[in-house]
Amino acid sequence: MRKLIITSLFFVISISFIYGCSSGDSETASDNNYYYPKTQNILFFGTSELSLEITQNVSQPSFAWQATGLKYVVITVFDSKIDLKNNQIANPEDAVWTWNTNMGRGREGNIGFSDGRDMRLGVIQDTVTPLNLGVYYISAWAYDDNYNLIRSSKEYKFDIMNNVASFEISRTNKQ
Amino acid sequence: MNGQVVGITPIDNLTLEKPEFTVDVIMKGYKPFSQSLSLTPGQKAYIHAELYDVLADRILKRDSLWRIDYHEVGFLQNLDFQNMKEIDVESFPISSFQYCAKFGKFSAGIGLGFGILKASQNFDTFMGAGEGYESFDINVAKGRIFARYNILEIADMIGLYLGASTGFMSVNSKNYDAPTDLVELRRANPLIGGEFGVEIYVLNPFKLTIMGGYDYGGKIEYAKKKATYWGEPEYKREILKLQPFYVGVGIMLSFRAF
Repeated sequence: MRKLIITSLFFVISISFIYGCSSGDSETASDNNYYYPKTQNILFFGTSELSLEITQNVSQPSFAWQATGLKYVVITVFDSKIDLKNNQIANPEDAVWTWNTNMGRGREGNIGFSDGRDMRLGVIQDTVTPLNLGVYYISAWAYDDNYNLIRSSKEYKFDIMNNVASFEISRTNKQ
Repeated sequence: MNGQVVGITPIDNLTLEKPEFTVDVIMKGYKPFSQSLSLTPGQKAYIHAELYDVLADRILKRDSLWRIDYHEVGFLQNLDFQNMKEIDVESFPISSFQYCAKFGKFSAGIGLGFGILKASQNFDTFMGAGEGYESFDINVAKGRIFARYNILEIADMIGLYLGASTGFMSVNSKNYDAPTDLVELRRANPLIGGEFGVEIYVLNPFKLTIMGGYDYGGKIEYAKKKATYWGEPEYKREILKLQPFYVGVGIMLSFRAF
């Protein structure tokens, strides 16, 4: 009997371990059949890195970075991976939200989602709409006074998954 | 008279010992005048001597159109004028060295000049049209051969001339923020020009030259910038015509070729 219990426990633990390894964060993650490696280069070649901190798993993320003091800083959220051609973004039509230092909202180094604006087909709108569930790609870049590109961040993969709602519900239950 | 000094002109009533004689009239800086005469007793003669300075004598007795009378070297400072609003340039200085050979009413020579245009552009950005500003340099080199005709010349005083020239104008635009293939844009253009000038003999052998003219110097290239929201700014070649008017002054050193 004791052997049976130990064997059963071993099986359960093994299955749980195997399941956990396959469903949690791994070295690579698949998104629409694209395996997203952990190693990411900064977006624009020839620029210095701008590290971006993003609140995770929320439909209205906030952003923080070490203030650069540069005149023009841009943060943009895309609903597709960011493509480049000749060191310029080739798919601006995939941008869904953006913020820049000229908007006069937030402050350089710390901004909330409502400080930015929606983007449609590469044009900045007057509205701010929370992000839908899904996978997004976020990057930041910055220009000097002569509009020369000198800083950029890595491309950050940003998931808004189903358990956002679950998280909110569990918080309510606790109360 | 007959090799003997008899006085300083004017001389009246000079009595001769012999009926045949040679008169030499000499003045420093002038070619000597000489005339031989034979008089009968009681006959009077009036001798009028015209003396020419060495240059005039050379010109009057010129046996070759191309024999050089003077060599001249000098330094000139010009200011070229052309409104190139695309690169915010209205004028630019050109310093040059020049050699000129004068023969009669004509002169010919060569000149080599250099200058730097301090240019800038207001370029379009995602903040608005013309919101961006960038400065850059354009180096200019002019080399020319020229020919002039002296329409008026008062020896050792003043001269007026008309001239024409041909040569090259080399322009080199440098913008170190541009992509590698557009950092330096070079162009060598043929140069054709016309000039009018005044030469004033201020202190022998120096003379002051004041000139004005027009050059057709071809084209100039620069990298036109446009800033975008989506990364690196864009650059493309832009071409402008180069046809400046100019005025200038120069100091020339003139020395005889004989």
